[in-house]
Amino acid sequence: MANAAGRTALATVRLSAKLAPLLTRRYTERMRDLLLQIQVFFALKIWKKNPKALCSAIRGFQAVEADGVWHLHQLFLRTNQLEEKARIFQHLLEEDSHAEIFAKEVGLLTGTPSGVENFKRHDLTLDGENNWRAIAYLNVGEVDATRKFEVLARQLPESSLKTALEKICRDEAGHAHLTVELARAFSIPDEALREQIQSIRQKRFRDSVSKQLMSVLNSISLLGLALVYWLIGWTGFFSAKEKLKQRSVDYDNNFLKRFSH
Amino acid sequence: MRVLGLSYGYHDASVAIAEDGRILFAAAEERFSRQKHDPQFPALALREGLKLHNLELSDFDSIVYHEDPFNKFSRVLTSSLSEYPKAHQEFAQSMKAWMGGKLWTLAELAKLNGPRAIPIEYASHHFSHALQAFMGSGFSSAAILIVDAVGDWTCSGLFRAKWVNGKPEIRAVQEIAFPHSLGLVYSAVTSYLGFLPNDSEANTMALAAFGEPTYLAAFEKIVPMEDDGSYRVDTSYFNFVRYYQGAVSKKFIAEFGPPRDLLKTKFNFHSFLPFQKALPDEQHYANIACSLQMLFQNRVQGLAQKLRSDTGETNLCFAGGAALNCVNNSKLASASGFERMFIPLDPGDGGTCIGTALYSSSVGKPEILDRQLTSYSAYLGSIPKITNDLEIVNSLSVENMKKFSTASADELKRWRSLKKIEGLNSNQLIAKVTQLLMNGKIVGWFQGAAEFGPRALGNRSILMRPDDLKLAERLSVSVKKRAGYRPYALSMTEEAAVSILNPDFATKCSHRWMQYIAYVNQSEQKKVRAGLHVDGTTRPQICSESDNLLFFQLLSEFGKQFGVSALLNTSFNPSGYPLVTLPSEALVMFVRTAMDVLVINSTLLIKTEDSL
Repeated sequence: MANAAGRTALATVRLSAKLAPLLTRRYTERMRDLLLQIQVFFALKIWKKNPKALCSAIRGFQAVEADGVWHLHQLFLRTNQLEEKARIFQHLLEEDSHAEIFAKEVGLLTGTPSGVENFKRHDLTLDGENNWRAIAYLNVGEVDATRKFEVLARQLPESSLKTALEKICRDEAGHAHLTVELARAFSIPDEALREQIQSIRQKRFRDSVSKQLMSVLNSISLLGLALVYWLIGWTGFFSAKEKLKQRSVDYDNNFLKRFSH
Repeated sequence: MRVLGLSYGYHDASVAIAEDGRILFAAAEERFSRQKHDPQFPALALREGLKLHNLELSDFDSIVYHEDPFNKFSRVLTSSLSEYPKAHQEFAQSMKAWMGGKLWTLAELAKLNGPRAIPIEYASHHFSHALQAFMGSGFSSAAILIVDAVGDWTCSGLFRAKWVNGKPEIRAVQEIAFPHSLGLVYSAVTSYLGFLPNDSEANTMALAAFGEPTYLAAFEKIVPMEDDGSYRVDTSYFNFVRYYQGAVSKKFIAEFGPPRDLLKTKFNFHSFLPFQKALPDEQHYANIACSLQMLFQNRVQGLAQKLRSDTGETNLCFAGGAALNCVNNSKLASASGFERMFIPLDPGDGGTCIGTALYSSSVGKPEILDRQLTSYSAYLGSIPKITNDLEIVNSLSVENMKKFSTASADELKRWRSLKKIEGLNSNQLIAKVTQLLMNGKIVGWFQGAAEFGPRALGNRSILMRPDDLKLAERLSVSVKKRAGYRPYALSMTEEAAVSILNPDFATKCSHRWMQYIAYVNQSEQKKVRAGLHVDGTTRPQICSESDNLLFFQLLSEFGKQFGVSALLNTSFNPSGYPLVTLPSEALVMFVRTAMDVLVINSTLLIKTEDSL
């Protein structure tokens, strides 16, 4: 099954290349695939030992699919041509079903409740001016998510998650084309779309690097704050204990205040 | 005076636009971001409100924020210091969040309109709740009870309010401080029972109906009542500060057993269908839920009685997350000694923006007092433009749509084509929908402006006839995908309420917004059995002509044919998501579930067995 998913993926990419030069894989992309495989290899080791981390990862996948659904709804809202609307809707149904598949997987894996990861939504289709940006964004999202799911499906042992990922990969096979076709239907020049895809890719790369850096900085700052706590926290310990012994609030805080800035 | 009310930063971010004591718009961010309880700055909701009323930020005279960030910060800092040196993880995480943004919320708000800063006002969390409870209550004076998890320092607030020279005066009677929180206790046990805290407390409440209060004495020991009617919490049973250790402490687990493992203990209870005798594990957790619910009711009751005797007021305004517990609300209405009671449309944190905006936009304006003494409408949200959204069904093949449906094979077999009926006037629409409802169809009903708050009140609702248990089961399994122990609600006309509901049903409060439960008369139970809980109660919405004309007409017309003007009404949302906002969201849910009919304004889509 894993090989089947892999073959589907390859076929997708080949077909994409035929359909439009926009989807051609380049050296950097192959490098990114390699990195992804390494990443997945280590992730699987971690997930084996820590099912909570696996749940969190699947929640992340669900959130990514749901984010795609959200963007498609915005695009649907701001598209007037019926044919394109119908195409977007069909796509919507599929993405929505994928988000649900992941939600079910979380339910099968965890014995404790967990919430859905929140995304900051950035509407790229505001006032109908930037539909092409949304399409490029969706294209990049589809291609990246499919690649990730394929690598993951290949490396996972037999499980319901593996089956779910393989199904999603099969479904996703035509999505990248769909975004290209949509772009053409919106009369977006190939060149403009290519540029936009590239700029989104570059931005994503920068974001990913800065995310990694931020995560390192985050760990350092947390360590630093914990150190501050250990070093000087004791100075506030007794007064804090005393404060928490008070059962009532003993000052008047019940009025509208004005913030001066 | 035009004011922008904002509540965000923890959960249920919302925005309200008020003008001279009248709410023009109110909506939660989750409706637009499609993320339940979305806590982020409500940018999308604000954009919608501005667009709908053709406003710009510069049109506002002030912005009111629902919390005092500095005071809240002092509580967060103090609580982690009180657990020195064990709370290092909580300290580091919370300080990072606060220093990295939350502490500067007001400064950020001041920058919202660029160089032309709009004056920023803010209130303590519980004062915001008090405003939310009193403004729009229609009372000229009242006692106010606020019970929630925790705001700045206060966990439960007792207030007294009255209008003086066109200005509401609100004075605290008593404020019970952190960590003595009924809301935190309820949420911690909710988490222990395997539900998501700050989200699924309604599950705990529903589960309670299947249990016995066998642990009530144990809970009474943990949250003892004080001589004055208030309470305290023995925090050694919980991890309120060191929350990374889990919601409840080892001491709690030693006394009540391990937390429910979702994979091991599933609940087979059912609110309206017969179910097999519960396994010991299931019953154990149901008994804990029941005991917790009883304790909660007793303690809130104690606070209300104290408030009644301290203030002498006969009107009660109740808000805070605890006021979402409709079982407790009914107990409070019937036994607290108050003559009249008001609960705001959304009594949780999300609704505070309404109270603060109303207050700020009307202070010092005696001329609009009359306006303040009337309540507001529930339909304050977005009104999506319906363009050609539904035209697309003509160009989609049913087989293609069916591929993504989660309906059963049998249900899919019955769906051969999609029939679209357009351009009906309201009489025709109501006649047609009534006929479909009578024929046992599940109808998605999407009309006009969205409701504010957590309840579907007839504009974003899923409706069905209230007597068909099999249909209700289909609704639970194939449309809503929700646990069987969670009951459905009923919407009815006033006339129907008189015949269906027990006469003891409190006349002290308004039932416009599904906030209380009521016993259904034995003789009428068969007719509305799909909308009943296992204990014979329902959560009614009594809809009047002035509240929602079209929905009232539908209920009345249905009543003429069915015999009772009542419909089973549940929220129009896919499992795990907020109520639908866009027509396309409604359409996706319609296609992907076993819903039979979708009504969007005057257009009907019907899944039919006939092939076209």
